[in-house]
Formats: sequence, C-alpha cells, structure tokens
Amino acid sequence: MKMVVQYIVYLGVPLIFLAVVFTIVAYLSYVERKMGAFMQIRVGPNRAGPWGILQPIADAIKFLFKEDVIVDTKDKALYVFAPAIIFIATFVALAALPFGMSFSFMGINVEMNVVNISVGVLFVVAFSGIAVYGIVLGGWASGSKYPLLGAMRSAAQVLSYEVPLTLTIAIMVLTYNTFDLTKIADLQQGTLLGFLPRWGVFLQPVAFLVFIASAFAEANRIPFDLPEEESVLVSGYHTEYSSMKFAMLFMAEYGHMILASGLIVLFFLGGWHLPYINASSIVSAFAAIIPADWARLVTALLLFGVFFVKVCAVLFVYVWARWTFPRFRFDQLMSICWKVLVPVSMVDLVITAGVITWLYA
Amino acid sequence: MAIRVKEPARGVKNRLYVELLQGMWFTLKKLLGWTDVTIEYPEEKRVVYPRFRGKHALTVDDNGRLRCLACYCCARVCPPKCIRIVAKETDDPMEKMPESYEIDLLRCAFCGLCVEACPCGALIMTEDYDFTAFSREELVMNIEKLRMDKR
Ligand code: SF4
Ligand code: SF4
Repeated sequence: MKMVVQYIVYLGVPLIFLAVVFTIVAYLSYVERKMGAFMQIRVGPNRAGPWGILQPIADAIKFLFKEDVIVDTKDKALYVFAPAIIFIATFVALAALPFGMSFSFMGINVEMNVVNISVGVLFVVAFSGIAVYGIVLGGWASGSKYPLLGAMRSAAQVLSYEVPLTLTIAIMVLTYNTFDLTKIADLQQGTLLGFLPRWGVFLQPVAFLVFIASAFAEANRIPFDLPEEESVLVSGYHTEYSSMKFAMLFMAEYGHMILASGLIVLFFLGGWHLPYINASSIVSAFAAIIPADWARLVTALLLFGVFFVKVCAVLFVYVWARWTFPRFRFDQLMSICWKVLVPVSMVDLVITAGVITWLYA
Repeated sequence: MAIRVKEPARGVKNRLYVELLQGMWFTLKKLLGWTDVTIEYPEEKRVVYPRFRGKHALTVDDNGRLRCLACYCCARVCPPKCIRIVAKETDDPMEKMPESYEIDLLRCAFCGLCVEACPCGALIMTEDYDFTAFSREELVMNIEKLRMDKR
C-alpha cells in the first residue's frame, strides 16, 4: 500500500508542477497584454469573460482549430521538428528546477522536484542552450528571409550571452560550492553580516545584475529581442509557423522565461526560503500546534507558495521591462555582451575564486 | 559605409543608468494608475465633430419629393467616379429627377466634393460612420437607402 502511494506521489508532484507551469505560461501571456495595456493607458483583452480572464483559453482553442500551414520547402522535416526541439529542450530544462522543500509525510517521501539531479545547474544550462538549435533550424527551414535573419541574430545573440550567463553561474557554483540547485537554495537561509538575508543577491550583487541581463537576452525578451523584432523581421524565426507549431514556440518562450526566473530565484533570491526564518524553525513552530507530519506538509506548501510568489515577482519584472524599454541595435547588443558583461563577469569570477581560495586556505 | 555620428556627452545620470530606473518608475506609475482612454467601440461611440463626413443622404423637400434635379454635378466632380445617376423627365418640362441614384461607398473617398457641388442642397453627408455589410452589393447605396425624410 505504502509503495503504491509513494509511486502516486512520485508521479503526482511532477504532474502538479507541469499543470502549474502551463497555467503560468497561459496566464503570463494574459498578464503581459493586460499590463502592457495599463501602462499604455489602454484596457487590453476584455471580451472573453470578465476582464478578459478567459482570453488564454480562447487563444488555446483558436490555436487548436487553426489551419496548420506547412511551408513548402526542401527541409520539411526540420521545419516540423524545430518547434518540438525548442519546446522539449525548454521543458526538459524546467524539470531540473526544484520548487520546494522535500519532506516526508507519514512515511512517504514527497520530493518537491520533478527529478533530483545532483548536477542540476549543468543540466539546466545544457538544455536551455539546446533550444537555440531549434530556433536556428526553424529559421533556416522556413525558407524565407525574415526567419533566416531572425535565426542568425538569435544564434549570434544566444551564443554570446551564454558566455556571461555561464560565467555568472560558475561564480554562483563557486560561491555555494555545489551544483545541486536544492542545496544552493538551502544554503541561502540565515543572515549575512547579521542583518541581510543570506541571499545570492547580497553575496554577489554584480553577478546578479549580469545574470539578469543575460537571462533577458537568453529568453529573447525586450530589450534583447532582436531575433523576433516585430518592426523589422515581422516576427523573426516564428514568422512562418502557424497553429499549434506557433503555440509550441510561444509556450517554449514563456517556459524559458519561467526557467530563467526560477534560476534567478534559486541562485540569488533565496529559493523557497523566507528571509531571516529558517525552514526548520517554521516546521518546529507548526509542530507546536499540529502533529509533526502535518507541520512538515504545511511548511512545504507554504514554502512552495513563497517560491511561486518569488518567481511571479521576477516574471513581473520581465514583463515590466518589456513595456518600458526600447530595443537595442544589433551592434549595441553585441558590444554590451562582449565589452561589458563578459569582462565584468570574468573579473568577478577571478575575484570570487581568489577570495574563496583565500578563505579556505 | 556607415556615417559615424558623435554621441552627445554622457552625464553621471546616464552612466549610472538612472534613466532606466526612471523609465521603469514611469511605467509603474501608469500601471498603478489604472486609467484608460479607450472608447469601447461597439458599445460606446466616438462623438463626431461638426461637419463630419459620413454616409451620404438625399434630402427631400416639403412635399416629400427628392430635391435632386439629376444635374450630374456631383457625378462629374466625384474624384473616384463612384456616383451613377440615371435621369428621367418629370411633369415639369423644365425639370428632371433621378430615376436611379447610386453611390458606391466602397469606392467613395468621403471627400465631400459631391455635397459641395450640389446646387440645391439635395445631397448631404450624415454623421453615420459605422456601416458594414457582408457583400459588396450591399454597400452600393441607392435612392431607398439614401433617402432621408426628416431633416
Ligand atoms: S464624397 Fe467624394 S468620393 Fe464620395 S461620392 Fe462624394 S465626391 Fe465622390
Ligand atoms: S449635384 Fe445634387 S442635384 Fe445634381 S445630381 Fe447630384 S445630388 Fe442631384
């Protein structure tokens, strides 16, 4: 019996996570449109349901029933597989994100992650890097000039920004001395110098800024959305895609945003931990009034809520920035990466490595 | 070869990217303001300004007869040539009247020249601007559709 329940839990938690992710993806598009509307003194979607709240569902239905136009090119296989590559790569990378405190409830292990990978950091970096293949192949196989230009820009941009991104990740890995995202989050409990929460953003503020900038570029967001610049490239690499293929690209893009936000929260904003309060002290506080098993459950749910709120806050910043900033010119984009972010993160890496060697010596 | 334009000197504010934060603050204020200037079109309509040039109408005189004399002034002046008139004789040997009078609103530019050209105020323009149809034919106006009895 216990085995069965254990397996149901193993299966159920990832499914719930998937449902949460897809809901965020759907409603992120709604929030994005609505927020943009408010910032521009408009009303935004307001026809489907009260305040347009059913708009994502209407969109989904529309995507499902739209004609699937397949471009008549020589590379049909690539054309069809490209969205799948992007989609799969993004969502597989999301699987490595832990999203809460693992706990045991009446002898059953509840792991708050889809897969527990001890080198989660590398896994995420590897798979989010694969997505660019999909973009390049899709842009190439579309057989028209705008997707190709978008794909070329994307290749250049994503490959360039992967350098500072990976360097900052290396900095954080050095700082926490582990590749395990769960451990990284757990190491951010407690305080720094007595008054700051021990979050990555206070340990490594420079790395934080570099990471945010590169994460924006990785997710093709304004001000780094050159690959899909509407006013110049129609919509870049997904110009020729329609129906569910477009929806997959679209979802992958938002999935990438969630991934980046999750990483920002895990590396820099304390993961699922509240500032100043340790998870174990929450458990013992609850244990004073309810049984220990339930105390762990309530704490885990609470901490999952904290993680959710933090991720949403970072997503809010993404959307907020999108409706605020104009986009860069391509040479500016490249010079920001290679002349600012890469040197800064390299110097930061060297300093961090030096300090850590000095501390451990 | 690109022409290099010298960039203006950057101040302290610019170097510290304070302006980025100012921009973010501005959009946040707008977001929290929750106002909008949208006219929710099918339910709400924009108030048109005086002398707005909307769909045409043919006026009638006190006896309920069309004022139009079928003089073809409007048809002649119309730039896209979208007015088609067939004249017929009346009891009065001095006067004609239109047997059919058609304005193709799909070609009309709503320039108002026809109204200006009309010697007897028979053709006017109304403030009606939302007319839609499912076929092209429905948007070719004839006497029945244009006739405006009350004025
Ligand atoms: S408004 Fe201009 S275009 Fe239209 S019918 Fe009159 S003259 Fe012709
Ligand atoms: S100009 Fe006036 S009177 Fe002459 S045909 Fe046109 S509408 Fe009739």
